[in-house]
Amino acid sequence: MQLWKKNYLITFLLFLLVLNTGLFCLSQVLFQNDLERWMEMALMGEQRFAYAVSEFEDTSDINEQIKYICRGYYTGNARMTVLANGESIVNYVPADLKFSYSADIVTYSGRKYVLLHDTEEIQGKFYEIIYMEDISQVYKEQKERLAGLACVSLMLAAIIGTMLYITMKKIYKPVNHIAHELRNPLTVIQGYGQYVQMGNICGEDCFFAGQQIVKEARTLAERVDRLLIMGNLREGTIRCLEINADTLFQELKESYEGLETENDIISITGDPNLIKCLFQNLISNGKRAGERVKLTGKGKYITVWNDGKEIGEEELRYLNKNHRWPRETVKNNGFGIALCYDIIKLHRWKMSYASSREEGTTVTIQIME
Amino acid sequence: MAEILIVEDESGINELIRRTLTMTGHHCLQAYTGREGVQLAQDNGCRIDLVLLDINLPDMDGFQVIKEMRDLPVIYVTARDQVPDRVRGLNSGAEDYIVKPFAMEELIARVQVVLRRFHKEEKLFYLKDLQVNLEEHVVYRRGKEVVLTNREFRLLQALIVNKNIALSRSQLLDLAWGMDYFGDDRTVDVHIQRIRRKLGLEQQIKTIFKYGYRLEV
Repeated sequence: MQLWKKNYLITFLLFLLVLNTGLFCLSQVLFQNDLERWMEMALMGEQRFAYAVSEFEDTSDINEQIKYICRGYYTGNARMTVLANGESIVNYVPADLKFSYSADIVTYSGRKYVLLHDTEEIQGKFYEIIYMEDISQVYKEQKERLAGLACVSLMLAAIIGTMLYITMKKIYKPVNHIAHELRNPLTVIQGYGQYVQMGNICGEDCFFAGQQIVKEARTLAERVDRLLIMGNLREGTIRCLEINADTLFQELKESYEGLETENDIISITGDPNLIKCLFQNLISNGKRAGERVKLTGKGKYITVWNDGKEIGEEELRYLNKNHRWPRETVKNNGFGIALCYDIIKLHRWKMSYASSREEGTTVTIQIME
Repeated sequence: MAEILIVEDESGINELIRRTLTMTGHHCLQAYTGREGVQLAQDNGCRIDLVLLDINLPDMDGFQVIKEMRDLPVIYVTARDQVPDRVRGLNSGAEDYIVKPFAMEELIARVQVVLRRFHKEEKLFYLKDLQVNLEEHVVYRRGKEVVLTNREFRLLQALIVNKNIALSRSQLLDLAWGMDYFGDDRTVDVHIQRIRRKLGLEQQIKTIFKYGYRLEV
């Protein structure tokens, strides 16, 4: 599996772990709060009963009154068993129910109940009260809450996962292109190094090999510089300096044999390294495409023209409008053009391509102040 | 000696491959674009034993070029190292797929494998008064058979296949004794001495200081 996909999976799984753990903890906290609230209500209910009994004035038929109150509780979904001095007065709590604490949560007939066990001395008698209230509602709400949070988790995972995937792919693609561009010079350097080291060669061959190694090392250095520039571009910050246009044109003319130049622009504002990289890319592409390349600076426009073959309509469309290159359209790796557009965008300039059989190909850059 | 067509647009790499294969006794034709490669293949088809083909060519990609070279064995030599590219390359009919950057000895070994598969490898080797039959594992010196042990022959064969290229002692150990053998590098020295003595190749099998040996032809 590609490294970036592995990284994506690890990051995504970590995110899922954190998200789901967080949501689960949240649901547990809310459930705990609900449960405590219900327990308090049950406790109040039980204590209300004990208080009511203690306030009876006429104690002659206290047992009947207790039964009456307990019936009321029963219709309100709470069951009670009341024993006075060991003698059963009311017995609504199932006899087979086992509990060991004064307050407990039990399951009976598939439903959840809070069970309270208390003893009260009321008017000289010891009353044992077992209070049982249905709290299935809390558990039902918890299940619904969990289902809701699971849906939220799935949605977030899908959205964040997709965004993460697209972002990481976008980052990986130029890295892949750069890696590809580095392999060729590395092959030459490694190959000629081994050729000198291991081959049965004469002095002339040795010299030739040395020349190739030096040339490709230079190419490698340029591409590494480009990689560093790309790194800066991704941070989105550029230096804004005033660059002497004539000096820039002269430097480019010296770097590219046969490059024609014509300039009436005095200065350009921008990042010197990025601007140089931009024109180097455009001129290199022009040289690859045709015999003659001309760099012209006039007013607010700089053009790079070459007399090469006409660029196809579809390719022109991609160059001018759609910067997402489908694999089949890309010549070499398309990395240089992407870099040019990144530089243009950062400077808030505009770039466009025009191409015809009669007039060749012209890249026009509109410089904004 | 095989006739190998190299189709690679990077002139540095193209020349490197040519020099490497020429050193080991092959003859190379060079093309820098897909169309040029196809043209050379069509003009010299019956002579060409193997094609080394880059995928990223300026005019057409390697996958299109291979379609025009149906009958020729092809090895892709490319910077595209992703699994889908390798699979596509092999499915398109290539015999092998080498990823850049590659070691010289790897290129030579893979070329040798494909030539052997198509029975185009060198069968007879001549040097001074020696005739080495690589197929029958027999060596003649001045018309008389020279008895070599199996190890000695395999060592000699490794030097012949990689002629003019220095091989390290550990490489020679792997080639002649196999990857499972965990012996001393001095074993190689002893066998080389024996080969030199038996075949009179004291001047031809050169010792490369602190490295290994090279057969110079």
